[in-house]
Amino acid sequence: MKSTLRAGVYNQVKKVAVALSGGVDSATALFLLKQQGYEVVAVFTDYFGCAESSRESSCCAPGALSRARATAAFLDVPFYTLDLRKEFKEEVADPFADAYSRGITPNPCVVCNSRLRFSLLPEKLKAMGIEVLATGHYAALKGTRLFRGADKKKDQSYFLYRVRRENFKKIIFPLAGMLKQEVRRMARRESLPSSEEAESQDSCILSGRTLQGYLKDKVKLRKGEITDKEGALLGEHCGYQNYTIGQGIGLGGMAKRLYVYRVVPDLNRVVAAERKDICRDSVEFRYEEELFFADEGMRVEAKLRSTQEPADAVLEKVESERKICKLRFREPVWAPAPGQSAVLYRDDEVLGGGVIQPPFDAR
Amino acid sequence: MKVYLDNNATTPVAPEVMDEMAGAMKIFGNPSSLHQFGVRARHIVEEARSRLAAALGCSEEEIIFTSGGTESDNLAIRGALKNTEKRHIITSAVEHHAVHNTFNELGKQGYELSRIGVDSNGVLVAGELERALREDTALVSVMLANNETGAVQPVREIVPLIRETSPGAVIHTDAVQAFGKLDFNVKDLGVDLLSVSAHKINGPKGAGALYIRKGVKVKHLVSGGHHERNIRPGTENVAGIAGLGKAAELAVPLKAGVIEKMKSLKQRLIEGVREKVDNIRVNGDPENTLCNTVNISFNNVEGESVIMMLDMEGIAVSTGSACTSGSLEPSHVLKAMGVDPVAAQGSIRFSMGKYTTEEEIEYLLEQLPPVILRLRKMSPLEG
Repeated sequence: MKSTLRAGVYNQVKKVAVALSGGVDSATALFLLKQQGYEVVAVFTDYFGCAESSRESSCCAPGALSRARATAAFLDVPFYTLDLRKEFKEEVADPFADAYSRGITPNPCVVCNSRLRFSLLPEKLKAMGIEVLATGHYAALKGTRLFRGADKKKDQSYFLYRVRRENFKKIIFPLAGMLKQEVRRMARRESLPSSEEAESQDSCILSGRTLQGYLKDKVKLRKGEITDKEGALLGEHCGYQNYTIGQGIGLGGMAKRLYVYRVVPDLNRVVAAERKDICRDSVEFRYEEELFFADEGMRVEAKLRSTQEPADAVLEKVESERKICKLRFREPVWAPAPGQSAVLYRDDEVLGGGVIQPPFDAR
Repeated sequence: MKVYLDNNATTPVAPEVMDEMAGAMKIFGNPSSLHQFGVRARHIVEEARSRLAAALGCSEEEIIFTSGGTESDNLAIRGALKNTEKRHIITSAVEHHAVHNTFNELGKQGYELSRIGVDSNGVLVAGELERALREDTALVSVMLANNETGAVQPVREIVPLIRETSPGAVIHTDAVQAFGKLDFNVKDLGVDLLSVSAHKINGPKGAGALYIRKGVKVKHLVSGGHHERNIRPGTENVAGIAGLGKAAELAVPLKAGVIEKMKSLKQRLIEGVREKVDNIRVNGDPENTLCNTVNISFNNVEGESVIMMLDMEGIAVSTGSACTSGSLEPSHVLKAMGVDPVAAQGSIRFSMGKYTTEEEIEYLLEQLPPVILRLRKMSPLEG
């Protein structure tokens, strides 16, 4: 394995905190740093009240806290739980439910990384005398520039694009140069407590529930109409908040499979259309100046949701006053969802991105 | 250097206690059995009972073994109420959760609660108790010393008051923190029921006892066999009980020499912090708190951060009761004393034990000031 850490820069550093999630990646990151001689402490950010012992086995990813604690104990590293319940609710969970109410698709992990994990958490650690934070993300840093990790399939740089670049100064990604299978193999070889943990697919915010199950408690769901683009009634839905652009809709008796084309909160309406209508050859996104490093006319790869392959595109227009950017794709892409992030790459470097805006014809 | 200053949460098990328990574990018989295996186990249990009775100043038949302080408190309060029709019960505003929450539940079940307030030093206001007492008061439960501040309650003084106005009332005191750190015996106190726990006196976890004054009736809470005079069914935790007995025996000499030693360490700690850190408040009157407990509010810091930073230097302290450290709520004890909720967030409890040394206190006094200074620099609360 090639070393992913720059010698000299961090070797002066006294203490590194490793954020443990209870999974195999952060556990391996902790192992690597400890092995390389850093003075490490492990921290677990408690977003849901996992630390209240009566709830430990039923919160977020069940058992996450106890696995994290077991990992720290196994590697003989001090372990701390930081209570960020209030901040998580305000910054991530409430806006998450609110976005669905506004008919858009939120990116809770992007928000969490930029508002909590790579801003508030380092601040809290700094107050405790710890200057450097490491996480188990598959992503790479060169100075404060952000790149894809060596494992292109597992790459998590998409979720990190909104982190302010100056915040990367004191961050280490020990897994930057590793493949997932190498990480898993190493965790097994070292018998780390979470080495057999299955990959978690859902956002931790759902705590293992379905989106519908989660929203049921947070927003008022009412039955409404499903129509086609012209407004003709096709069927009934049980709450527009449950729908996201591109989602398949099961309607009996239709010749062709239909997908969500648009969600109209004001009318409590879901508009359905055929597959070809869901694809788009361009999107607009809103960016923040400090987080945008591309120029008009540039050829880029654009990733429009975390699970989607990047698409070749050209930055057709950058309107610096409105902070709106227009991307034109070489081939139409599937279901860009307002609220999700468009993240731009060139040669594996993240050049920033922004939040996808509703298309003109859907307003 | 490792410095353990959280002895009110739990204490290290004394080597003598470990030896006693290791020996007891080899005696595997059931104390209720009639054969020699059983007889030997019974002997261990009864020897422990007599050691504990000697330490508390009562007779052996007044001791019921339990699983710890929380069970003793529940058994005392709920078990005593099962023998009366009266529905009025009194407690203080600063009890441990084992009593505090038991009263909350009884309130929901229809009992009429009076919760007596404390002054700014955390001491029960006797006049308020006097006004609350009624002829139909069934039970009064007031702790002997508080776990968070160490404030010693005037239990001995209020017993005659209660006997006069509410002659039928059963009087309970939770002595879990006071035992071993305060010189008392149950006859002097005059209470009917008194709870103790082994792990606060260098004994094992999972063992405790309830003193039940002769003639006072307490009914079992769980059903089973005839163990512990039908009051606490279930095969005895022989090794745990042996550990409790040994720890209680060791706690008797503790009352003399070690109490004086801890008092002087406590004085040094308070003086040292006052000297080196400004903007603090010592919670409770040091003249009337346990010899081992110091509770200090540090303005403009979060207690949680202090704990973690000191921990990284090898020093263990706490924000309050170990049982509440997972919650964000400010301590009900400090709240009842009128401590400002923001200041309460920066409150730290230092609790010494019989193994605490002068050197350890000096190490704390070296490490603490820069931690507070650093946190205050970062604090959004700073004005």
